Parts: sequence; C-alpha cells; structure tokens
Amino acid sequence: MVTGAKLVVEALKREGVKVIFGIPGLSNMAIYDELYDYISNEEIRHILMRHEQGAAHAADGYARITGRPGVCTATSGPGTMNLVTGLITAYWDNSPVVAITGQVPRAVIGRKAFQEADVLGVMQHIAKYVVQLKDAKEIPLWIKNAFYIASTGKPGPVVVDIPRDLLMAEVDDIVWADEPLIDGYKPFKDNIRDEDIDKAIDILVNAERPLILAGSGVMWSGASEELIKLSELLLCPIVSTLLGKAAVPHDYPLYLGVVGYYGRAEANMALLESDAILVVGARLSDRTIPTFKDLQEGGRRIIIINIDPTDIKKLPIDVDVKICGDVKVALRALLNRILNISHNSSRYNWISRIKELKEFYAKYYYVEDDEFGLKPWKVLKTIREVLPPDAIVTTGVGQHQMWIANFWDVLQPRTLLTSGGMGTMGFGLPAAIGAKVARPDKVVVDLDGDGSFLMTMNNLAVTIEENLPILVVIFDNRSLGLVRQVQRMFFRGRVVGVDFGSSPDYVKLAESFGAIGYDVGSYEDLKTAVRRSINDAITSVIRVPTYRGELALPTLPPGGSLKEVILYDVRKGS
Amino acid sequence: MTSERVVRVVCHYRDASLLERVIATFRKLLIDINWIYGRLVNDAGLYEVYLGVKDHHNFLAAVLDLSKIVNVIRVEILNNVDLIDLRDKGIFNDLMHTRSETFIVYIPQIGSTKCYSWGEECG
Repeated sequence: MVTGAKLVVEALKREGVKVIFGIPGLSNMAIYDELYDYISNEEIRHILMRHEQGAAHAADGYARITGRPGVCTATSGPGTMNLVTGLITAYWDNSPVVAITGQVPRAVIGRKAFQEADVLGVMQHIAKYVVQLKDAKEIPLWIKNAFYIASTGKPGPVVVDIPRDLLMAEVDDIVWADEPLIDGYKPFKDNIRDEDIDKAIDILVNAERPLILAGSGVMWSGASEELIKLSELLLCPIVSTLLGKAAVPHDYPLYLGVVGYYGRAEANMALLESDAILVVGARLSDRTIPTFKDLQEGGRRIIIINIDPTDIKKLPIDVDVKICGDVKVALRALLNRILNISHNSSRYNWISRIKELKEFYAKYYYVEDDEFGLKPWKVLKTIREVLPPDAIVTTGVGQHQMWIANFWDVLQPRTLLTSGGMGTMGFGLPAAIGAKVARPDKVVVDLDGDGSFLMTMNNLAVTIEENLPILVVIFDNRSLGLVRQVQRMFFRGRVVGVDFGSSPDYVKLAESFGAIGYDVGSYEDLKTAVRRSINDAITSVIRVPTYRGELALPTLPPGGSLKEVILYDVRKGS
Repeated sequence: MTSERVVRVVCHYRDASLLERVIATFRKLLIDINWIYGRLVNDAGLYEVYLGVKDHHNFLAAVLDLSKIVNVIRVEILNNVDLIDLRDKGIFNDLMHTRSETFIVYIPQIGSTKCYSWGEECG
C-alpha cells in the first residue's frame, strides 16, 4: 500500500523528472512529504520559488531549453491561481509544462472551502488540458498522459489537479501505465505529400525574390540546420517572427531580422518585395502580420509548413502549398528534393537588394550617443561582445524586449527565451532560473526592463540559495516605457499612469538578496560589470540608466501595414 | 435574419467540463449558440452534442478549434439540415397538456456532413 502522493512522485520520477519548481501549501503538502526522500537522495531537485507565477515561468524556461516538459507545483486556491499567468504564457508560446496542483478534499469541493478554486473552470481556458482526478488509482496513468499531451502535437501546458484526500488515500493494486491512454486525443500527424513538396520546390526555385519566414516551430523541432541549408541552396533570405529569432544564428548573412509590428524595417520591406514566401512553423499572428493585405498583395506565392493544420486553414489568405507536418521532417523533404534537381539560383539582383536594404536602414538604427545617455542598441552590442556565443538570454516584456528583438544577435539556436504570444511582463527572471537549472554550464542572462523586473524580482532570492548565478541587466527608465511610447506617439502625447514616482536602488536591492549590484554609467563600465559578474559566478544585477524618452523603433501605427514603418522620432527632427 | 449552422460533436466524457469547453470554443470566437442538446451515448463515456449556432465568419475557425480539443473525437458540420419541431408532430401531446412551458426538440434531418478531427477533414 502506498499513498496517492507517493504515486505522484514516483510517476514523475518515471517520466524522467529531475526538478520541480514550486511552493508547498496545505493541499500539496502530502506530495512534499513524499518528495522529502527523493530530495534527500538527490533524485529530484526542488526549487522553492517566491511566487507561483515564477514557478510556472521557471518550468516554462526549463522546457524551452531542454525541449522536455518542465514541472511546477502549487497548493490549492491562491497557489494554483497564481500559476495562471505563467501557464497561459507557456500555452501561447507552445511550451510543454506540467503543473501538479493540490485541491481541497472532494467532500468540500464546491462549498467555497478554504483555499478552494475551480481549477477545471479556470485552467481549461488557459492550458492545453486540465484534468481533475477522481480516484488515487488514476494517478500513474494521468501523470503519464499529462506528459504525453504536453509534449506531443503542438506542445503546451497540462494541469493535473488532485484533491487532497486522494493524495492521502492508501492505494493497493497499483497499475503503472506503460503507454498513455487518452480518449479523444491524437497528436497531429505528418501529412507531407510528395506533390506538395514538388510544387513548393517549383515555386521557390522559379521565384525571383523568394523569402523564408521562420517561426518558433523551427526551434521546437530543432530544424535550424535544415533551415539554413535550404536558404543556402536556394539563395533565399530569411526573416523571422520574434520567437523564430531563437532559431536562426544572426551571423548568417542572409538573415534580415524579425518581421512585424516591432520588426526591422529591412525585414518588413523584404517581405513586401518578395514574390514567394515559405512560412516555416509560424502561425502568422497579428504581431507578425498586422494586416493580411500585405501578404496577399502582388500575387505573391505562399507556402506554409505547420504541424497544426488548423493554423493554415484558419488563415484568411490563399495559400498555394500547405504542408502539414513536423518542420524538421518537412524541411528535410524539401532539401532531399532540391538536391535531386538541377537548378541555378543565382538571384544576384535579389541578394543585392537585400544588402541594399540592410545598409539603408542601418543609418536609422545605429545613432551614436547624444545627450540622452546610453543607447539601447549599443548597450546590447556591448553585452554581446562580452558574452560567450552560447549564453542563454531571457527577456521581460516592454521596450527592452523590442530592442532585443531588433538589436540582439542570437548566435546559437535556442539561446533566446521571450514571451512572444502573451507578452507577459515578469517572464525574464524566473525563466532565466529555469534555463540555468536546465543548463548550469551556460551563462544565463536576463535582459530586462525595470517595470518587468519588478513584477517577479522576488525570485532573486532563489538564485542565491540555489546557487544559480544569473546576470540581470535592467534597462532602467523608471517608467512603463512601451506604454509611454504608445501614449506619446498615438494618444496625443497624453502620458498617464506609466512613470514611477519611486524606484528602488537596484544595487542595494541586489545586495539585500545576497547578489551583487552594479550601477553603470558608460559602455566600458558595463563591459567590466558583465565580465566581473561572469567571473564571480554569483547573481549580479546591473542597472543601465536609460533615457525615459527613448523609443523602441522601428514600429508601426496601431493596425498599420508593414509599409507604414516608423523609423525615427519625428520630434527629434533626425 | 442570421442563418443557423448545426454541428454534431462526438467526444469522450470525463466530467462536465467537456461541455464547458465545447460551448466556450464558440463563445471565444464571439459566436452565439441558439440551442444545444447532448447526451451520454454509452457506458464507455462516448458523448454527442448537437448545437445550433448563429452563422458567423468565425464559424469554421470554431469548428477547427473544437476538432483539436482533448477529448473531442470529431466535429461534424451538418449541412442542409431540416430541423423538425416535434410539437408539430403530436408526439408530445400528452406531455403538453400537463405542462405550461414549451418543450422543443430539434431532430436534425441531415443532408450532408463535413467532418473534422484534429484539424483534418475526415469524411
């Protein structure tokens, strides 16, 4: 006889779980009681986060780095509800997370019991799946099912909600599931047809100005190598979504950058000028393609590879070739076909045009110092120069995220974690913790804004006690800068509710947690602080004072076309 | 007048959240539901739900989303549907005599169907 709680922990171990991010409370305490031995034996590591939102983000960060589900746990009621923001963030970005939540006993469910929340009612809308268990004997099967659902098809978070009485129940006749068993679930199947591959190749080879748009599907399927190879063979430039940025090494000369609302102007222009586009693992959200007229105009041929057929069918545009399947498998099929045909893709004019676009827009981006302090693009360039190529970077959400979208050079795949779909402020630090747990051998950096950092900065304590040295760089403009920017540009300059009247001393704040704080005033100071923090191998917080009026550019007007890109602050007259 | 679309959802019942998820798929895409009828088909948890929803430009998106919800086996769009109001057939005459409220059952007479399962057309 074992308890339901023991079944939970043993089932997690059997799924290969090595780490759990969480906070204990009344309703998941039995799980912790069973974890005691596993933690003591160093079979499973527990990371005590300082808020459940952070636990979900950390599990998400872990998943994005390893490609395997990250696990978090919370107690019933407020604990589980605090997971919501983190889980929907993972859901929107297709990250596999498994949340094990304690629930009040079945005898009091529905009676507004102490720390009760309707977990099914809430989570069913913000996760890929949620199940509330009815019998302790179900625990092994549903833990297995949760991992299967989370990691197959289009990955996403799964919640297993377990009433406390089931965790305490004694179980005999334990049945360990060898295979998942879920009625009414199947991962999307690869449906890559030879005729579609032929047609796609025909379009791409014969196009004069082909372009590849890479999305996060490239990263999740580990297909960066295939993507670059195809681009090389076709002499086909690449643009990406914000999340797809993590899939393309930026020193590849045919990469132009992120396309879309806050994308690089040359990437947007290349998309508009292209006559054929291969969309790889991207769902073409409103952030990437603000108006579909841009895609549809000019008779552009469109080929889409996506594992989820509904992502293609739901698009309000005509798609010439629809390839439903795993990105890596589909790209290999394209590569195999192109290697077996003779083609001559010189594309001198198109490649020259790409170079011209890059050079033209660079003039607007790389403005040297003015009286307004350190320039974000140069801050990022300075940090990039000091960090190793395989350093992992996370971000919060706000202006700094847009600067990173445009001016941070990803040098190795899967080294940039950001909340793309949900745009969740506070993602950066806890996601960095998850990344550092997954890859303790890598330098992990949270490039954050002050508004974003302040939302989850309590987790600095975790980095100290768990010996997870993380470098936090804060663009400190004492404001919610991106909202401020939109108010200035598109709400008649009526700036309201965004400027912080009081902000912490970040050096003292860092020190109060046992970390090291730096306040830098120059690029040289910054370089020194970054080097020192890497060498010291202790969490460091570097404050970079940032001019409050600095804009995140390029941008588009709300609802605007990619043609309407705004390149500079007209009020500065430059 | 807005025309109505009728769908049949074949799914697997674990708890009543199944019905919430089916309904919410339309709600999330701003589609109104005119009527709904569902029942447990067998002891193995097979469930079928019929819904009459207002036609909407998001209708196909809702069907596609519904087709890839965990526990949903397939979604059928029932085309050329005649809805038979059983009040007109005299079947519930006895019941109607004893009840003041109206009891309406729609029986879809199906002309053709288009079926989706996990985003793929399935017949």
